This record gives sequence, C-alpha cells and structure tokens, in this order.
Amino acid sequence: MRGFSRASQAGAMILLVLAVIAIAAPWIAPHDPLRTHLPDALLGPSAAYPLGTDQLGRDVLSRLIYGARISLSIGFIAVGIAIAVGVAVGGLAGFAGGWADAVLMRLVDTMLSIPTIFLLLAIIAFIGPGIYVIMAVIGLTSWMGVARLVRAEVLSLKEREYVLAARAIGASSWRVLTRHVLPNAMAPVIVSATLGVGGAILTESVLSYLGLGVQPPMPSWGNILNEGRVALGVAWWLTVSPGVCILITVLAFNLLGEGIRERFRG
Amino acid sequence: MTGYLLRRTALLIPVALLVTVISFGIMHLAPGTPTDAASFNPKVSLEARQRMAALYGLDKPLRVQYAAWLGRIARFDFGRSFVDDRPVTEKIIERLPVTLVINIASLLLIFLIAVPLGVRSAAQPGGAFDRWTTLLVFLGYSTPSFWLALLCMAFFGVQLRWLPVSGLHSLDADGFGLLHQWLDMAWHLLLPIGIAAFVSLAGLSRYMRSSMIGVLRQDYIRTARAKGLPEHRVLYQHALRNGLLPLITILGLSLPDLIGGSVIAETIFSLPGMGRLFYDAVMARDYPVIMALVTIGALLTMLGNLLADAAYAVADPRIRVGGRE
Amino acid sequence: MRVWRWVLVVALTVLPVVPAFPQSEPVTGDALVVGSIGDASRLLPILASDSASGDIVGLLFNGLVKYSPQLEIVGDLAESWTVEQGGLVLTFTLRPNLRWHDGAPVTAEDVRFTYQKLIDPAVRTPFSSSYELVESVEVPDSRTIRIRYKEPFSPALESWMMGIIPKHLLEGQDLNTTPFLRHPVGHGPYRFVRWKTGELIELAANPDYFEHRPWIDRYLYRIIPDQATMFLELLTAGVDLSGLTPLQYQRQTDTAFVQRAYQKFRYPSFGFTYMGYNLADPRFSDVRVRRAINQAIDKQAILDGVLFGLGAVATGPYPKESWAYDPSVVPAAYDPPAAKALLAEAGWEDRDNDGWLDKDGQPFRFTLLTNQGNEVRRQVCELVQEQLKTLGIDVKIRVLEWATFVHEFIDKRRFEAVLLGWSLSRDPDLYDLFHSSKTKEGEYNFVGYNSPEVDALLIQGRQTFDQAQRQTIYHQIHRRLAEDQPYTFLYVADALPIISSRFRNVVSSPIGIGWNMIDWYAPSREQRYRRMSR
Repeated sequence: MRGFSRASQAGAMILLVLAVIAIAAPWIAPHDPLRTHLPDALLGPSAAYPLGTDQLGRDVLSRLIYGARISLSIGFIAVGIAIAVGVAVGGLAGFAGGWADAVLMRLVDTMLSIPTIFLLLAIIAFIGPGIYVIMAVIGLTSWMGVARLVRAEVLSLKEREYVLAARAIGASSWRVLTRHVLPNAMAPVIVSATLGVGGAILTESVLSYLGLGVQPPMPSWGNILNEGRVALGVAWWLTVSPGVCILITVLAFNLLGEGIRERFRG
Repeated sequence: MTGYLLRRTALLIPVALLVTVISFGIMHLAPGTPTDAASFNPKVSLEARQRMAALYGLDKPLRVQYAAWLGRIARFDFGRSFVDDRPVTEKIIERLPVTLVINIASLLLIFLIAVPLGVRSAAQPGGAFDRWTTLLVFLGYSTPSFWLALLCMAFFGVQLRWLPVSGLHSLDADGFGLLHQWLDMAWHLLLPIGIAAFVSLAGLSRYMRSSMIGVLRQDYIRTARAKGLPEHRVLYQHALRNGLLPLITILGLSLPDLIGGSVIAETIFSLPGMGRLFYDAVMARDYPVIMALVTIGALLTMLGNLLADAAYAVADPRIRVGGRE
Repeated sequence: MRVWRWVLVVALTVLPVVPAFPQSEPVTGDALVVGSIGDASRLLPILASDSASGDIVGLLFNGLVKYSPQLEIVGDLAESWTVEQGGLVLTFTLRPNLRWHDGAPVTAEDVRFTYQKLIDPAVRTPFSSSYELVESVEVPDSRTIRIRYKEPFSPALESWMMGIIPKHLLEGQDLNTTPFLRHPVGHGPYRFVRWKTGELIELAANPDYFEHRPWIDRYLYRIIPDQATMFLELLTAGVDLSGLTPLQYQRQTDTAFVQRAYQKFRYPSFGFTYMGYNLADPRFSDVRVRRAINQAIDKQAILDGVLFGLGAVATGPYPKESWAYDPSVVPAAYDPPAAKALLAEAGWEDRDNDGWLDKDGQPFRFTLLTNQGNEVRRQVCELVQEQLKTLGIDVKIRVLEWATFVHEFIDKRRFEAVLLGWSLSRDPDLYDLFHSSKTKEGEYNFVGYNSPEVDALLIQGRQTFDQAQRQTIYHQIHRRLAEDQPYTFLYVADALPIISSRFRNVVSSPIGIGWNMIDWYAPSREQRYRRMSR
C-alpha cells in the first residue's frame, strides 16, 4: 500500500479486524448477548466473562462484539444515504448551474439551518427510536457537507478540456456528468465518507446518551456506554470498554480517511 | 461577483422564513403538547388539561398560530415561554453569556495550541513530532466527549479533588469579591473548556499544517533560508503570516456556532447554557422558545454560509456562479 | 501531693463522661444542599405542577392541614377543623398570629382567595378538579373558613393541603405571568432569597415560623441534570441530600468513607409499577389470560434483579403501609405450569410447535410500551419479556418519548399493554383510575376497566368520612382489583434518600424523612457553610 502513511495503514488494519469480528460475531461471541442471568450481575472481568457483566447479568464482551455489528452497520448505511443524496444534489447543482444550482443550494442552506438535534428529536419522537430510523436520520442530516464538496469539485472540473471535448462530440449532459465529471470528483467524497462513518458512530453514542439511540436489549456501543454510566463507581468496565471500542474504531476511520486524503493530494 | 452576493443576501429573508415554516410544521408534527408532560397525573382532570391547552392558544388551527407568531416576530416579540411564562428574550439573554464564554474560550485555546502544533508539524512533515501530534489530535477527535468528560470528572473531581465536579460557581460565590468570582468560574469551566478544546483540536491544527506546508514550498521561503535566517524566524516571522490567513477565514466562519451550546456538555457539567435551553424546550414542547432559537440559528447559519461562499469565491476564482464572471 | 491525686481522680471520673454528653443541643447555622435533576418553573403552589417547583413551594407555603409522620391528617395552618352534615360542610380554624414573610397576617381571606384562583378559568392551574365539588367558601371571621360542598367528598381534606397564597400581594394580578412566580413571599419555615435560573435556588430560615425557627440557616437547591454527575457530587460533598438509585444504594455506597459520612434511609414510596392491559383487546378481555400472565411473572425476581430487593411486591394499588391495604389479599404464586394450564383453558396452546402459544392460527404476540428515560422500567420490561418467552408469549418492547407516549398512544388507546407507574396521593380514592366513566380520551382509566361493583364502591368510598367504613370499602376494592387484574401489579419501590451524616435528628417514618426538617441541625464543629447574620 504505497503512498499511504503508516498511521493510515494501521487504521485500515484495525478496520479489517473489526469487520471480521462483526461478521463472525455468532461464532466468536462466548455468550448470548441478550440472555440475562441476574445472579451474575455486575461481575468484574473473569475467565467466564472476559469483560465482566452488566446489571442484568449479560456478558459485556459478547454485547460489544454484537455491538460492533450494529455500530458499523449504522455507520455505513447512514453514510451511504448521505453520500447518495449529497452526490446527487451537489453534482446536479454544480453541473446544471443557473437556477437549478440556486434552488438546490438554498435547499442545502435550509437543511443546514434547521438544528440537527431538533430534527432528530422531532423525527424520533414521531416515529419512535429504532435502528433504521437512526440510520435514516443521521444520513438525512449529514448530506449537506458532501453536496457542497461535490458541487465545488464539479464546478472546477466542468471547465476541463476532456469535459469540453466530450460535449463537443455531442455526448449528452447526463453522460458527461456521470461518466466524466463525477468519477473525478469522488476523491474528496471518499475522504468525507470515511470520516463520516466515524462521525456516525459518535452520533449514535450521543443519541444513546439522550435516550434516543438503539433501544436495548439490542446492544450498541452507545447504549452499553449509557447503561454503564450510572454504575461508574462499582463497574468501571461497563463504561471504559465501550468507550475504548468507539475510540479505537473512530480513530481508525479518521486515520484511514486522512491517509486517503494525503494520497490523493499527492 | 457583487451581483452574486447581492442575490444571496436578498434571498436570506425568504429562506429564513421557509426555515421557520418548516420548523413550525415539524414542531407541531411531533406529537404531544406542552401540557401533556406536566399534567399526566390523576389529580389533573381532562377538563383541566383541555382548559390549559386552550389558554396556550393550542386549540387554534396551525395557520392561525403561525400567523400570530409571525406577527409578533415582526415586532421583535418572541413571546413567552410555555414552561414558566417568562419572556423568551429574557431566557435567551440569561443563557447566552455562559455559552459564549465557553465557546470563545475554547476557540482561543484551540487557536493557541493548534497554531504552534501545525507550524512545527509543517516544518518537518512525516517527522516524529508530526506523527505524534497527528495521533494526539486524532485521538481527541475520535473520543466520545461525554465519555471523556465522565472519566475526567471521576478522576480529577472525585479521585484527586483538584477540580469541582460540576456547576458554574461555588455555593458561597456571591460572598466573593469580583476577581475571586471570576477565578472561581474559570476553575469550574476548566474541565468543560479543556475537553471541548481537546476534542476539536484536529480540525484547526490539520488545516494549519497543510496551509503551512503550502506556504513553506514558496520561493520566498527558500530565499529566506538561503539567506541563512534561523529556522524559527523563517517559520514564525515569514511563513506564519501567510499561513494564518485562511485560518482567520475559518475562525470567522465559526462565528454563528458561537451561540450554539453542546447539550451533552451542559448536562454533564450542570451548566445553564443555550444547548440545554433548546433541548429542554424541545422535550417540553415549549413552542415559543423553540421557534425563537430556530429562527435566530437559521439567520446566523445562513449569514455564515454566505460569508463562507463569499470567502471561497474570493479565494478560488474557479468557483464563481455560472463558471465565468 | 494529695491535691494532685484528687485532681487526677476527679479528672479521670469526669473526662470519660464528657464525650458522652453529645452535642445534643440544636444550634443554628450551616446550609443543606439538595440536588435536583430539574429546575423549578413557577414558585406558586397552585401552579407548581413539576416536582422541583413542588419541593420549593412546600418549604415556602403551608396548607390548612398536612400528613403526620404516621400518615394521619393533622392541622398545619389550621389548628382545628370540623366535619359537619355528613361531610357537606368543612370548617377550619386558623392558628392565631400567623404571618407572611413580609409581616402581614395570614387570614381566612387568603384561603378564600386561594380557592377562587384555583377555580378561575383564566388561571393555568392543573389542580382545579379537586375543588369542583365546592359550592361556596365563607369567611365569617379572620380565622374561620367554612366550605360547603355539593356532595360529601372525603378526599377533600387532603385537597386542603394545597399551599395558601397571599391575597394582599396577588389580588388583581395575572397569576400566569406575575413576577411573584419568581420572587415568592410565603409563610412557611423558609423564605425565598434568590433564584439563579438553571443553577440554584436559595432559601433562608424564617425566624418567625409558627412552629419554631428551623435550625438549618439555609436551604440550597442545586440543579444537576445528570444522574451520574449527581452521584459524583454526593461523593465530593457538593450535595448533602439526594435520592439514590437502587444500584447506588446497594452497591456503590458501601465504602467505609460513605458509611462514615452519610446516612441512608429507605421507606416505601407511595405509588406502584404495573403492566396495564388494553381491556378492549379481545385477548386481554379474558380474565383468565390476565390471571395467567400474573402467575407467569416472577415479581420477586424482578424486584431482586432490578431494584436489588429495595421495595415490595405489589398485590394491588396500595402499599402495605396504607390503611386501605387489605392484608388478607395473598399474592398469586409464581407458577408457570399453572399459568400455562389457565391459558390452555382460554384457548391458547402451542399447536404448531413453534415455541409460541397460538389460537385460531394467530401466535400470542403483543407490544409492551414504556416511556423513555426510565432505566429501571426498561429493565423490568426486558425481564418480563424473558419470563413470558418461556411461557410462549412473544413480547416486543417499544420505548417512547413521554409526550408522544401520552398523546398518541395512551390518550388514543392505541396500545396493547403498557408498563408504567402511578405516583399517588395518600388518600386511597382511585375514582379517576378505575371508574368506568373515566374512559374518555385524555382520562386515566385508559385500560377500560368496567366493574359495576367497583364503581359503586369507589363512589361510596369518596362520599364517606367515617374512617372505619372507608377502610372496609377500600379493602374490598383491593380484593376485587387483585381478582380482576386490570393491571398486573408489579411492585412498590422504596424511596432511597441519602443525607450527610453531619445532620442530626433525621428520622425515617412512613411518610419519609422530610417531615421534621425544621428540627434537623448540624453541630457547630461539623458545619460546612458560613452562618447567616440573623
């Protein structure tokens, strides 16, 4: 992997390991993450429970492993939604110009002006918290940055020779946009996406703190952390371990994203 | 260029209005009324609940309610909060100072740390200092801030007793002299500001770094070095001036965010700021407060975006509306 | 030499006795710092609908009567009262020389003014319904109040625990927006000093309080919105008094430090947690199904697991300490096989061997709704889900934000089952919860319970003033509710206050620990906060 700093390579490795863990969860997790066993509540790390148990006697390690699935899928799908919408809006705005650009950018302004917390609370209050709602909501509130990025790239690419050449030989606007312009505008989008997954995972943990995240008994790193918060004095492992998981994962995404950015900048 | 800016400015008000209409709609779409939370109590009869709803004007159709609100806004009257019947303006002015102090202080702190870090890193890209600083700022960026806050609170506040656990003032603070009061408040804000800064260092320091790297490649820097000037003079006297310019733009653009408070930080540290004001208002369906904050926020955000686009347009001639000007 | 020997003897005799004289004489001084999750909103008794406002208002204003530590109704501002004509007329006599904090006398006119504002349609008070049966309030002299009711209403006595508000300061003002709401003038043991919104409310001892000046000089109400932070503040003595969660009580307050520096108390709270069924749903309208579920839920296990045993299993709507509680009601035994048999009788069996009970081809599956923000309740839901799973019933849990929950699901009866709690007043009247007429949208019999027998008993209970008669009636209601199971009554949780051990005279009672707050004091040597000047 030439051109990538060691830090970003480390980030990539961590994410690979994480992906494997998440996919192989049913085989690696030592216990059923949902099974409560009250006599074993709040035990410290031991051979049977490597990272201890929570207040209902569930194994923390198993919950963290399954939580990786939840947190990663929220991250990827939310970012996927954000990218899809952002590229569409930004690409169209930059390429079409004129009033389409003006309207779409005012749409971006409008979305940016509505406070995210407000949207999140209102939508989640209306529909009820749940993993799909969270993915959609995070995605639909973070596409605006991507749109502006894409628009800026498209605006500068629009005047390049190969684009002008393509138009000169009569290629339709749509073809020019999708075949020539957008693919070359992807570099900052990829960076943004990589960083965005980390951001989505952090947002999920914030939503869990507010009580609007993934609902138990389904484990997510955010809600394990939130449940463990109040038991800090007596069960430090409940707070420290999910926090460390989030930290390492988001760090890995950030390092990787930065590495990609450096690579493309050349 | 000026035509573009004028058009954008003219659109500011209509778009702001659009935002208020959408927000008004979302607010009322979210189920529940201001009276629900407080009145789910067998002592509060159905008639009492209905009567209270009527007294808030909640039984009128939405268009009428919105029109009434708009009329008041035009007179700069933001109405009274549903939660305690105080004028919304009063509630906002009460909370603004804390948020401003925290935001400005952490911005300054970030600036003071990020600039030297960025400059040093740029002097030797890829070097040891650069790599360790990168790791450090990224660590900050990747940490869930409320988790860090809790751990710091437990360690510095409970374990070591060096810092207060939460709050803005000591309990006996009103008996202190003015200087003592200020110091007391600073002591209480050490942790919130410190954590807020640590978590946001990455953005500015990375930007500073790349900006400086660009500057250091310039010919006049090579000239300065060739003339035999000591490295730190090259860096701080010659390069920094030009590297700092885009940074100032960035700082200027974060102006609208200054009045936004982090509800998480304010909840954990028991600080009465704008973040909690908004969150509590949404949870309690305090419509006047919600609409006031959304409107102010919207205007400031759009102003900020306008300034951002103007700055980029000035900086990068390729990005002018329509491609050619 | 002999002199010194005598001195030694005397010294040795006296010295050991000296520490045995506890510094038991109360002294003034110090401050009590109380932690609260929420800030107050309106400091006027008739408008104080949130608990923080209620806490403060309770120290600034008194009612005509109050509850004694043993849960009997005794005089507060009133020194005596009579119940005449079978309850149609209540006459209160105020104590002499009662004064507002500004020096003006508290008179019967203030009581009448309070009543007028309670039923004033322009005042946004949620408490008007308790006073709707009042026909008139007469004030024959400055210390007598005669209240006539349209019909006998025994919960009325409790309704006169409402704080009395000052006519001379509030007459002619719009009570919804008066500045008084933020600068109240009361007559209670503490007077208002200042309110830093979102941070702190400060009260100071009232030297002219009719019982006696409280020993503790100041009462500081600190607003700390986060539970975890509140506990850390407790550990660093930033807060002297707060409530503990069961986890904190049981597992986090066992260190030597905490045991030395704090006193913990527990007493049953007045309320209960339950699972309510939508009785209009054909599955739950069959009483056998409800009884079966009652037998299939191991309430003791839930109590032990979620609350660490800090509470009591509930068999009905009253805690054991209430005089309305019928001790002859036996809790249903935890008996899953019997539950399964009862369900089979009602037509529910696992005919397709998929692990779930079914009937007419439909598996037994329902959604249990609860409100967001309550960790304990959510854990109870998860345990109920697991216990019913072994029975063969598939329970889905859905957590909803409170206002949404009330507005969209409870008021509109769009639920199958809910897990909620009621926090009740001590008068056992449950008319609003269980009478068949209280089923309109927005009313509290949202399960739809309809029992003519209980209806009649409820009406009888609230029209009788004879305590012995009332007790018989409410015992019967308890028994009927336990048989009919409109709710599965789960448990009554304990309240778990913790207070710094420097405060003496803190005594627990059925009504809690705050009943004698004015008698609490901290010995001079242990006081933490500076004295007041007066």
